Amino acid sequence: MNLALASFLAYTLVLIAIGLWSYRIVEKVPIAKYEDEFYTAGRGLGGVMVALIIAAGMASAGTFIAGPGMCYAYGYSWVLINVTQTFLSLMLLATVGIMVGLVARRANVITYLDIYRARYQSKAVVLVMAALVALLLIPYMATQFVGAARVIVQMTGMGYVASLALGSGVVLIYCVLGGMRGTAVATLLQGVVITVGTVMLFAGTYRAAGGFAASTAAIAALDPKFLSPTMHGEFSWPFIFSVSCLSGYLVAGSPHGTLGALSYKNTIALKRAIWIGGILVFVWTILLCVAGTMGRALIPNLEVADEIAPWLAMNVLPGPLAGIVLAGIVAGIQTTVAAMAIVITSCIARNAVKELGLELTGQQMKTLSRVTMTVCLGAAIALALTQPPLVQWIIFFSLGGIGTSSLAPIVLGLYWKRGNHWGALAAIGFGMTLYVLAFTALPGIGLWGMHPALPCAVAAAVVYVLVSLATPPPSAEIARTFWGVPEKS
Amino acid sequence: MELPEDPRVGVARRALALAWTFYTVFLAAVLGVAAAAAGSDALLFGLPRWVALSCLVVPPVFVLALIPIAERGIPDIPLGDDEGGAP
Repeated sequence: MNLALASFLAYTLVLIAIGLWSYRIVEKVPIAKYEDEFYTAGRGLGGVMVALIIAAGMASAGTFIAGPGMCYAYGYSWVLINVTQTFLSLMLLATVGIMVGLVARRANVITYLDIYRARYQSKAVVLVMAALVALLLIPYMATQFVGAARVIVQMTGMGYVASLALGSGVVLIYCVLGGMRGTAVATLLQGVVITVGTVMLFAGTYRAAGGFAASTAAIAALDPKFLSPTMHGEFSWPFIFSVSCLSGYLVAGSPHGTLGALSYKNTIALKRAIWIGGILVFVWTILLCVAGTMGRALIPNLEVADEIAPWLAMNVLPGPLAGIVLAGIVAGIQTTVAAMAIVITSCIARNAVKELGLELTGQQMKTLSRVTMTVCLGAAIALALTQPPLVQWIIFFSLGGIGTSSLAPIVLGLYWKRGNHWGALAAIGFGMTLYVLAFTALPGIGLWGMHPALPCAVAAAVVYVLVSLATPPPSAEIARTFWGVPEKS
Repeated sequence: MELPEDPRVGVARRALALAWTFYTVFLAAVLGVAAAAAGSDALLFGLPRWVALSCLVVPPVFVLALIPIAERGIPDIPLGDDEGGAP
């Protein structure tokens, strides 16, 4: 067994141990508090943990595999695009975190769709969003598994299917057994592994390439457009701006990011998570992306650009260190899958079931949560078996779809008292129709070469406002729950 | 009749305004510096000047600035209605 594989297996065994330990904790929780524990870890997470859940959950294979891959393929222009995701935590927690924290405690909100339920009191809104979350996030999860499997293939030489089983099986164990508690503890370990791994990968690449000046000269000799912010016009500035908005303004409604907003302990933890998240995402992004670009100077003709990060790990670092770097990359992917698995499960096992009027006992709910999570992860693993080639574009499509459908109902819904469920339904329907058309019959919707998510999200927000104004305002009960002064007993 | 608003909602609104303003300024700085420095062939730290400035210098400045902005710009408030200090 090579040393890289040995250190990766050691990391995997620790994750399994965390899953088993968390299972014991979750099992001790009374049935009445089970959902609260399983989905929000009892709403008691501190700043570092919340920062890691949001940063590592939102920074997916798009950062750890496709990020360096896109930088390898498109040079420093993609470093510029990726560095704009630095403030994911700020844009999520400061935009919706405090309101979600207040409402969560007032209306016993423990899942992403509970927010919609409390705000709109509409079965249709909850069911439509549950379907959208599952439809958009399961393919997204599949891309994460593909990324992880490709790393393990590179590292071990094992076949794709065996690598997929190794990378995804462990997530299944700690998510299904430990819920949010297992995910949070695993994320803490994974955050350390990701950070150490990215620093080592950058240091090894920098040394192998002979520093910045030597790598810049080598890249310039290959093709000077790799040194241009627009690839000499291949990417327009509106495109760069719109993709930046995907990981800026549009993250506010993202379901997997909202997990952090639902589980933080107090505003001290929220503020810490905001700036710690900024530091973490910047360090991970810049080191991996610059290493990916410099990789062009070391191996100019890699067939699959997404394989640059694992290639660098295996070729510029000694065995055990390569194993840690690869564990870090896989960890970054696993954290995203875990966050998504929790969200999709909560949407189906808690919200959709309630809306459909199914009466379940606590024990049945507990079983349903675990079965649903197993099925969702199983579906994503099955999709990953098809080995989709364009991982980054699937990620953008899913993120854009989520941003388009959720931005107005969440952000306007939390702050604008006049918004109602008709506005939310119209915004979701119109935004998603426009978004699908932009990728099929009407590509011109992406104005001036922008990613369609931005114009579609703006159009959906306008529709939300217009339809809400044309229909009756929400009930006084909703207004009291969201914005009213609490009644003293 | 207008419902009296929980003052903590005002804190949430200010946090929203702070985040969107901060990110807008950050995006303008990163993309503006990259566009302005793109024409130059000069290197800085061995990298194209626009890369060094817009990717290595500007973001850490904003990351560091965010610490006092978040800590002082968002006041500590009780989130539960039964916690001390809640209206």
